[in-house]
Amino acid sequence: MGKKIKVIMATHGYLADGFAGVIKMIVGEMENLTTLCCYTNPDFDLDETIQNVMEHHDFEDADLVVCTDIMGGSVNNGFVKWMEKYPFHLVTNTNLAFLIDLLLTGENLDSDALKEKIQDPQAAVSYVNDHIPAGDDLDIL
Amino acid sequence: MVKGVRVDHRLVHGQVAFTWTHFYAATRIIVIDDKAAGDEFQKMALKMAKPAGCKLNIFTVEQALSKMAKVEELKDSIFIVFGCTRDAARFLEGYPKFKELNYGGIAKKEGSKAFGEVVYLNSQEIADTQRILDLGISIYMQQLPTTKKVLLKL
Repeated sequence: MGKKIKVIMATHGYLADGFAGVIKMIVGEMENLTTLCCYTNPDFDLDETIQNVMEHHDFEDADLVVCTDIMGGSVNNGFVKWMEKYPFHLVTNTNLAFLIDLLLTGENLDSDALKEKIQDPQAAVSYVNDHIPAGDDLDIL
Repeated sequence: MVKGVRVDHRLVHGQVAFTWTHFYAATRIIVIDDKAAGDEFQKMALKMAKPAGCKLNIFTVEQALSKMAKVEELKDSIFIVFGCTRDAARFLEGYPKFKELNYGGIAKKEGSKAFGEVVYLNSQEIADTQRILDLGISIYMQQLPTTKKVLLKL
């Protein structure tokens, strides 16, 4: 067994819970996934929330991967500020394909392995019309 | 070696392509479904849904039965998916070598009765199911590896 990972999905609004709901449907209950739904109440304080997350994470026990919704958005910007202080991985423009892959095979993850997952064409935004496979190249049996 | 056998009307979809394939470490998915095997467009769509690094075959019941000797020789970890109880029953009567079968999803339709959260059987499907049970195969309902396995009783 390699080092565990903990994944935090952090987004504007309830998108993070939406992701978690779909993960539950497709993969099942994932104990290592938590969500941060930001700005869902007027008292929300992003910095305080992030600080709380970082202080409660045991970096010796598990690697922390924070997945945010959009590059340049305040949630991602908010986490960027903490990168100097805590050794977490920050991924943005997160999509479902990447998140599923991360949760199913994310154990023992270094930044190279994480980059490989992010560059996987299977997980890229894709124009499906150009992906129509040829008629009969099914695997021979 | 065949690691899992499932009936799922959605064939290769999220739960199958990602979660079960990962769980079984499957390197080959064999879809056995007369309708899909005869439909070029659906075959194409299934190919698109195929997980990376996993082989895929889409066979009619008849084709699948004729290939089983060869399938048994493969080094692959194999996951078999039927699209309907009818094809599952016909296949299993010709190849009754599995101890258990997972009903992973059978759609609700008019006149069908709920047996589980996502398993609905009409009279034809109940008859198919009885034929499978008569072969001594136990049928359980389980959507995901982490959800509870429930034995199906008619």
